[in-house]
Amino acid sequence: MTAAISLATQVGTVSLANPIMPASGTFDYHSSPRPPFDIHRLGALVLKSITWNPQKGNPPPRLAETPSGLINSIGIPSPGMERFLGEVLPHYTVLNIPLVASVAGYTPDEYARIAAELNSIAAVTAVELNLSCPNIAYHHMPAQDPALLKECVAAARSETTKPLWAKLSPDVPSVGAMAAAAEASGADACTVINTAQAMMVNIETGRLMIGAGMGGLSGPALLPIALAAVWDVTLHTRIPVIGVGGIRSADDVIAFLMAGASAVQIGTASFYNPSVMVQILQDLNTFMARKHFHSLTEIIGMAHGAEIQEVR
Amino acid sequence: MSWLQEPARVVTRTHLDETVTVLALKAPRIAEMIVPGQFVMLHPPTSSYLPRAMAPLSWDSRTGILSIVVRIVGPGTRELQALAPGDEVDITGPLGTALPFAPGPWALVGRGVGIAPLLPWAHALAAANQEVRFYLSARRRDLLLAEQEFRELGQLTGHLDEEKTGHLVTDDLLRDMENGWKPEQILVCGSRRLTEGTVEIQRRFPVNASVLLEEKMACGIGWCKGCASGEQWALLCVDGPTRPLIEGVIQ
Repeated sequence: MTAAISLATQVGTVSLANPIMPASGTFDYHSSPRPPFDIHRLGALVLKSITWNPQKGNPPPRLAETPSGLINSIGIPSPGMERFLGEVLPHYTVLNIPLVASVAGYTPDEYARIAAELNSIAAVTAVELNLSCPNIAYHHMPAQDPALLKECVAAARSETTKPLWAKLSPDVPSVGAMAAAAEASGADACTVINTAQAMMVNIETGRLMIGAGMGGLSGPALLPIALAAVWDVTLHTRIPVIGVGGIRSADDVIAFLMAGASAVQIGTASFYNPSVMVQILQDLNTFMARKHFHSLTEIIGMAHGAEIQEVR
Repeated sequence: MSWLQEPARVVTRTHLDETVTVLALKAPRIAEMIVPGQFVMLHPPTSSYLPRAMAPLSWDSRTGILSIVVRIVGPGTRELQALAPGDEVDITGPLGTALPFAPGPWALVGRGVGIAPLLPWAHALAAANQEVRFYLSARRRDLLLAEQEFRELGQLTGHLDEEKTGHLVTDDLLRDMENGWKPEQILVCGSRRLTEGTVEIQRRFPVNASVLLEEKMACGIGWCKGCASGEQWALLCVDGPTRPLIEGVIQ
């Protein structure tokens, strides 16, 4: 008889039944018809980023497909904190699954205010700070400015006892250095990475294909970049990493875990196949059985044990 | 409303010309559930492109077959058009909001592949004993989809040379209304010019009008927030694709 396989994992103090969760802004359970699978099978749910004030998001067209991914400029349509608490959150707090609320602010104070509101809600397991949306009208995003990043994380930290996850941008010289700044300011984990700034031109019209001009690239093109970023963060910090970027399969998930991620988020792949997260869970079990692994602890960070040839 | 994912098989493929193809797909569960106004997302299992949103021309809950008109506009639709009988294609659906019933008479206005979603509604209106007239245009006679079927359901005014003459089928609708025909509802699909023509009609006559709209969609199920439309940027996949007429001209 073979020992049971467990996909359970820990992100700091947060215990997850498995490492699979949707990336913020790519999954809904309140405003659209319910998906035809049991969402309780997922490790956690991550909500779409919430802003303090209501906002409509960016003008259409919001999407442009590329051969290796998807450029989006959604711009965080948000009902604002008050309506979020009254109308959106109640759909999720009745669920029996770890809930990660995502926060987007325009100032450190907004991160603090939203974190403070969420702190009293028992059903919220952790708070993810979206410091890296390329699509809102920041002067620059907090994830690109170490001083601003520290201020935003520290502001939220001062208002909440919940685990804080800092979601970082790939558009920096060193994601690891930014992660270290987040860690120093009180982040309990880093979500690595958000979309990469991108654009596309329609050569028939001579115009940009995204209404707001620039967007963020997600999808398969991002995977090796995200993997390198996860690696970099594990070398620069002691806090856990949630890997995200271009994951489409269980094999992709395994690669992130081996690079050091404790859990992963899946976004664009759900647009190709809405039940891909459930499929990945099945395939993860198959992989574990084939390789005679019993626990993710055997896999997480495995690639760090390999000898790396020094490049001169 | 609920949706599901169904692995479908291509039963037949009919190329109407080099850019327009009709696929008959066996998808019994979705064929059982779908109602006029709704659409499906199609994705060949090996495709690296996102699914494409398509409103079926027809379906039959007894045979489980949906007919989908595919016009090639890029690499994603080119892959769909290349599907052969026996090939598998993943379908997600039915999606979007059902067309809301309102008493007629109805005028259905469409061009090209935009004629497709009008046919199921035409059948529904005829079954409800509502008077309905059709104002349809296409590049060629064989692209005037289901012409005979429309003729059996109501009076049809068709045009094949809109682009050459500048004469629109909405000009014919306007003429009929000037001559005393009083539709209560107009539904437009497939052409911005016809939408603009209908806006003109609405300026002159008190008539309700709506439009079936398209926008780039990644998921079709409300998750990606990509298909924003109108002043409030409603999502076409959840709150559409049928929208107030005016949204068809501010897009």
